[in-house]
Amino acid sequence: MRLFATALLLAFCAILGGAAHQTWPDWWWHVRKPAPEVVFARRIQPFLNATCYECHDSSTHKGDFALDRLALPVPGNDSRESWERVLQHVTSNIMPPADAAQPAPAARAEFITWLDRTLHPVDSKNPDPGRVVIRRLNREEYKNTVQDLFGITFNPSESFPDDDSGYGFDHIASVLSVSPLLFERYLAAAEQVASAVIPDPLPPPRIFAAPPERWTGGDSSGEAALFSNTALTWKTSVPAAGRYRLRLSVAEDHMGNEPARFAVRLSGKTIQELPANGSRRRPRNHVVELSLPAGPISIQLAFLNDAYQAATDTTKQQDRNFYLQDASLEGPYLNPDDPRPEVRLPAWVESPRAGENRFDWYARVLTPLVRKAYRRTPKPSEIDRLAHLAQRSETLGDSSAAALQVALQAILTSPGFLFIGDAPASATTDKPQPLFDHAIATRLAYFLWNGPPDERLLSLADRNELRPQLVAETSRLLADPRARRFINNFAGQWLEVRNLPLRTPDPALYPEWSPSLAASMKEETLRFFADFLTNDRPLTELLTADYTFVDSRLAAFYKLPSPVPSANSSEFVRVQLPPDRRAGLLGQAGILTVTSYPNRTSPVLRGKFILDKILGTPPPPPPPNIPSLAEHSANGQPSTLRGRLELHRSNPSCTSCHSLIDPIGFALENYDALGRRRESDGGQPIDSAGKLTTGEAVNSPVSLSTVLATARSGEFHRNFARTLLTYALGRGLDYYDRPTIDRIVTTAAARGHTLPAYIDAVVASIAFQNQRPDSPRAPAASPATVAFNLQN
Amino acid sequence: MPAPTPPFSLNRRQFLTGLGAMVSLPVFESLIPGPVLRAAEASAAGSPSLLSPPLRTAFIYVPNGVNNAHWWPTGGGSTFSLGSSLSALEAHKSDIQVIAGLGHKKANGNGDGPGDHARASATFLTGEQARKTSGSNIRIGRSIDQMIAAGIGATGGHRLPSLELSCDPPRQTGNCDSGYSCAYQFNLSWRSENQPVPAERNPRLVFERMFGGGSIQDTVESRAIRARQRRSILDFVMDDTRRLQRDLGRSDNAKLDEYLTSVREIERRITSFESFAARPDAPLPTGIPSDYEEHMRLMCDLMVLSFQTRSTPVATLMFASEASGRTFPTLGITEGHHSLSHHERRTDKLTQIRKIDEFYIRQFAYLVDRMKNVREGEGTLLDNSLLVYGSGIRDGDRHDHTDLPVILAGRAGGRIQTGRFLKASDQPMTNLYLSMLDLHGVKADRIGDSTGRLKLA
Repeated sequence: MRLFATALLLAFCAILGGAAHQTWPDWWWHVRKPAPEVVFARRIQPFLNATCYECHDSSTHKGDFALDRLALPVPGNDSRESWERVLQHVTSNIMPPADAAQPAPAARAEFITWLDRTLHPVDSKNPDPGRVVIRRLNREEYKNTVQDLFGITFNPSESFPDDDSGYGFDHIASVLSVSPLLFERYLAAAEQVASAVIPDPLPPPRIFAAPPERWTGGDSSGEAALFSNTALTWKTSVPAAGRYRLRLSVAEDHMGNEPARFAVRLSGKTIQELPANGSRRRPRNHVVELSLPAGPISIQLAFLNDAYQAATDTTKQQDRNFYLQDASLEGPYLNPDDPRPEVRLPAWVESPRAGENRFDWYARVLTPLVRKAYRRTPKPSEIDRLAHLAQRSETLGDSSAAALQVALQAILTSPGFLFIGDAPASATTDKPQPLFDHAIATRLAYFLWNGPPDERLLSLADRNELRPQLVAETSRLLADPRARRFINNFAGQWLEVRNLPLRTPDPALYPEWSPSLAASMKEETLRFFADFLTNDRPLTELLTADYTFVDSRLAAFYKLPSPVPSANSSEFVRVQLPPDRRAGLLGQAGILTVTSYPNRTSPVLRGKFILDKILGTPPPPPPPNIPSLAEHSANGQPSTLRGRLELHRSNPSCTSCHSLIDPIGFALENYDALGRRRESDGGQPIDSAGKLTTGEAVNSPVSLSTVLATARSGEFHRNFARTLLTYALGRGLDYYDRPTIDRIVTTAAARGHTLPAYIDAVVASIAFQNQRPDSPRAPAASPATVAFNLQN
Repeated sequence: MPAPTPPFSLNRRQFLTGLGAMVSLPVFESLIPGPVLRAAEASAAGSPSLLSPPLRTAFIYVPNGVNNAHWWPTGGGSTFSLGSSLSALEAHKSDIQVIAGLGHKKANGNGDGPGDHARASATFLTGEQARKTSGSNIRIGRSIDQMIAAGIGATGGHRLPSLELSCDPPRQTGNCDSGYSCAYQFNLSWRSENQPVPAERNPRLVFERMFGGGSIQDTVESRAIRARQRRSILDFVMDDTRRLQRDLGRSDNAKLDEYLTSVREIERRITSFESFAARPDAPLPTGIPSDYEEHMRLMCDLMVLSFQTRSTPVATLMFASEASGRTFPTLGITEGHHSLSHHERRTDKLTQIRKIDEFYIRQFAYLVDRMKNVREGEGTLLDNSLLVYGSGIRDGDRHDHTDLPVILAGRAGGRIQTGRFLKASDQPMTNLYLSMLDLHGVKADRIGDSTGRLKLA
C-alpha cells in the first residue's frame, strides 16, 4: 500500500468513485490504460477489503497469511508465489470459504482476471512459443510409425502398457515416460518388426509343442494311445526349411520278449523305426532328426507290432499297446556341412557392389532406413556405429539378414526413433528459436497423420524448403487417407467417443446396447467431424447441423426413415434430421451416452461436458466435503432428479457452480442415457427449459445448441483453438499461449471459422514453428510489456 | 503379414492344473533363480533346510472406500468377530489382522481443493502429497514397494525387482480427477517422485515377463542368440543416448535419463539371464479373461507363482483403479461403483456397496487361501509373506482418508502377531510401511509422512 497512496492518485480516484461497485467498461481500459497502481487502488483493494481482509490482514493473519503485507505482484517483487496461491484458491472457490460471505461473481471474475494478467504478463507482439520436452511415441503413434515405414499390417504395440494422459490427450510429452516394462516391450516389438521386414531364411530355433491332444487317430479318447497297428498323426507348419528335432516321450504295455515298436513317418515315408520300451510311469525318450521343408507338414507315429493274447487257464491276458506321452519339435537347425540357405533381402536393401566391403555395404543400406526412422538426416557417426553393430553380429555367426535385423532392432529401440525431439538450431540463447525443417515436418506429420513424415515431407526438409510450402503440404496431408487418424485421435479424445466401446449401460434397462451399436455411435460422430475437413462450413455447425451420418443400425435406433440402400448396410450415409428433434454433436447418441451413467442420464455430467469440452469454461471444482443430497431432503425426497438437484442447488455453497452446470444439462434431458429422444421420464414429462447464467433462455436441446453456436460462439471458437493447439503440440497450454490462441481465432475467423482454417492457423502459429530453448529459467517478461487488457 | 499367434490358449483351470503338478514339489528349486539360491545358501550355511524362506510382500488396492457399517470387526485384540463384509476371511481369521486407525493425511486437499480419488491412489503407497497438475511437473514420491525393490535390489538376484499387476479395463480417454493427471489415478507404484511404474493387466504377458527373456517358444540356443544380440543392441542404444544427451538441455535430458534407467534395468536382467533359464513346465495362461472374477483370480495365481518361485520380493495388484465405475452384472449391480459409492446414506446404495465389498474380499480370501496351500519348509507361503489389502478412501460418500480399511495377512516368517483386530491410535499409514521395511531389512528413517513405526510384533 505504501507504494501507491499518492495524493494525485487519490484525487484521480475520487473522480471515478461512483463506479466502485461495477466493473469498469472495456473502453475505459483501452482509453485510459490505467497504471497498475491505479487499478490496484480503485478495483482490487476494495475487493480485498471486502472479501479477504477479515481473515487475512496483518491483525488477523489466519493461516499465517496476511495479504495487506504483500507487495504488488509485478515482476521483480518476491511476492509472486504468494499471489499465485491467492489466484489458485480464489479461482477454485477454496477462498473465501463456503461459510464466509461470497463476492459477487462479476467482482470475483474481475479480480481473477486482474491477478492472472498481472502475474502472467504476455507480449502479444512476440508470443512465447513455449517448449515441448522431448516426447516418446505413444502406443498409437508407434503402431502407425512402424506400419507406415515398413508396410506391415500387424500391431506390435498392442502389448505396450497404457499411456498416461494429461490435458485430455494421451500424447502429452511431459506425462509420457519409459518404464522398464515398456522398454522390454520395445525390444520385443523391434524383434517382431525386424523379423517381418527382413525375413531370415534361418531363424533362431523355436520349440513347437505337440502334446498328446494334438495328435489324431488314437484309439483312446483320454490319451494318445494305439491298440492296433494304426498311426497317430500331427499336422503343423514350420516357418523355414531346415533340420528339426522331434522329441518323443513314448511308452508301452509290454508283452513277451519284444518291446512295442513304432515308425516315425514324414508324409507317409518312414524315417526311423524305434522301440517304445518304457512304462507309462517312466516313458522312453527319443530324439529323431527330421529334414523339413518350410510350410505345412504331417508327422505320423505308426504302431508296428501290435499283439494280443487272451487269458487262458494258466496265463493272464496279454496285450501290447503303444502310448505317446509327450512330443515337441525344435528347429530349424543347420548341420556344419549343410549349405547355408540363400538370404533374400527385401527390395529396399541394395546388393553389395563389386569389391565393396561388408562395413560399407551395411552403412549404405542402413542410411536411408535411419533417415526415415529418425525423421532427419543421419549423422555419419550414427551410421558408422550401426554398420559396425551389423558387421560384428555377422562375425559372431549371424546371417546377413539376421545382422540387418539386429541393426534394425537397434534403430527401433534407440531414442532417435522413439522420441520426437524439437531441439532448436541453437541452444546458446534463451530467445525462442525456429525449429529445424525436419522438426516441423515431424510435428506436422504426427499432428495430421498420427504417424511419420513421408518421403515428400522429408525431402522438402532436406532441402530446407518446407516452410514456404507449409500451406500446400497441410492440404496435401489432409487429403490423404491417413488424415483419418487425426479425426480418430483428435475428435475421438476431445469428444470422448473413443470411450464408447468401454461403456457398460445396464443391460436390463438398455437391452439394445451392443458392441456394434457402440461402434456405430462412435463412427457417426467421427464421420460427422471428418466432414468438416471438406465441407467448408463454419465450425459452429458442429453444434447446429441439421444432418448427420448413419448406417442402417443407427437409422433404426434414431427411428429415422432409412435412407440407407440396404437394411443391413454398414455403410454410413448423410441424412437430414427432422427439425427440432436433434442438431449437431449434442444430438448424437455417442456423446449423450458417454455423458450418462450406466443406468440413468446425468444433467451434471452433460452440463460439465459442454462447459468443459465445448466452451472451455470448466466449472470450478466442487468445494471440499460436499454435503450429500439426502441431507437436504428432510421433508421427503422430491420424485424427480431435477427436483432433487434443484434442492441441492438451494444450498449456497453448491448453487454457484450448479447454476452454471444444471440448466445446460437439463436442456438435454430429452435424450435418454443412450441418446434416444424421449418426452417423459418415469411417467413425468421432460422439462428441458432453463436459463443459462449468462442470461440466455433455452427450452429444448436444439435451442441449447443454437445458443451455444451464437451467443457463446466466442468461447466455443477459443476453446476449439486451445484444444487443437494442445493436440498439435503435445503439451498443456499456459498463460503465455494466450496471444497465440487469439491469433489463431482471428486468422480462422477471416476464413469463416472452418476446420481447415483452424488447422492452417495452428500450423502457421509461432508456437508450432518455434521453440524456447531448453532452459531451467522461467520466461522473462519485461515490465514494459505488462498489459492490463481485460478483453483478451 | 499376420502377427505370430501365441502357441497355446488355455483357460485358467488348465493353467492351474499345470501349476498343480509343480505345487507338489517341495521347493521349486529349478525355478528359483540361481543368484537367489546362492544368496540364501550363503546366509543359511550349514543349515539342513535348503532355504530359509525370504519375506515376500504384496499390496492389493480396492477403490472408492467401503460400507463401514458392515466392514469393521467388533470386539478388539484377539477376541473379535469379523464384519459381515469380511466373512469370506473367516477361515483365515488367525492368519490376518484388521487394522484401524491408519490414515493418509497427504491425500486430503491441504489447500489443493478436490481430487480425492486421484490423491487416494497416488498417496496410498507413497504417503506424499501429489502435486496438482494435469501433466507438466508431475510429482509425488517413491512408493513403499519400490523402496523394498530397490532395497533388496540386485543382491536379491530376483527375476524382477518388483511386479505390478492390474485388473483394470483399458484406459479411458479424457480428463482425470479434478485437474490431476491420470498418472496419479492409475498407478500405485512410483519408482521416483515423477516416474510411475505401469501395471500389466494381461496374464500371459505377466507370465512371459517372469519366465521368458522373450517368447515362451525359445529353445536354449535361440535364447542364447537372443541374449547376445540384445546385449549388443542395448550397448548401442545406451551409447547413442549418451551422445544425444550431450546436445540437449536440462528437461530433455531428464526425460532421456528416465529412458536410460529403464534400458539399464533391462540390461541387468539380460546379463543375469542364464540363471533364469528354467521356467515352469506349465501351459501358458491366456490373455485377459472376459470375466472379471476370473481375471482377478488369474492375477492372484500369477502373484502366488511369482512368490513361490521367488521371482520377485514385492508385488502390487490393483483390483480396480480409484474412482472405478465398474458395474457388477453377476452381483445384480448395474450402476457404476463410483457413482454408488456416493451413496447419500441411501440404504439401497449402501447395500450394493456392501455386496461389492464382499466381492472384493472374496477375491482377497482366494489369494490368502492359495498362499496358505503352498508348503514352504515347516510352514506355508502365507506364513512367510505379508499382504496389505486396503483402500485409500474410507467412505466414498465423504472422501475421507483417515481410519482407512486395512487388512494385513501373513506372518512375515513368524515375526509379527496375527489373529487380531488392532486398534492403532490415529497415525499415518506410512508407519505400518516403515515397520514393513524393517521386516525386509531395508533401512529407512521415514516414508512419506511417517511419524514412527507401527508395532506389529
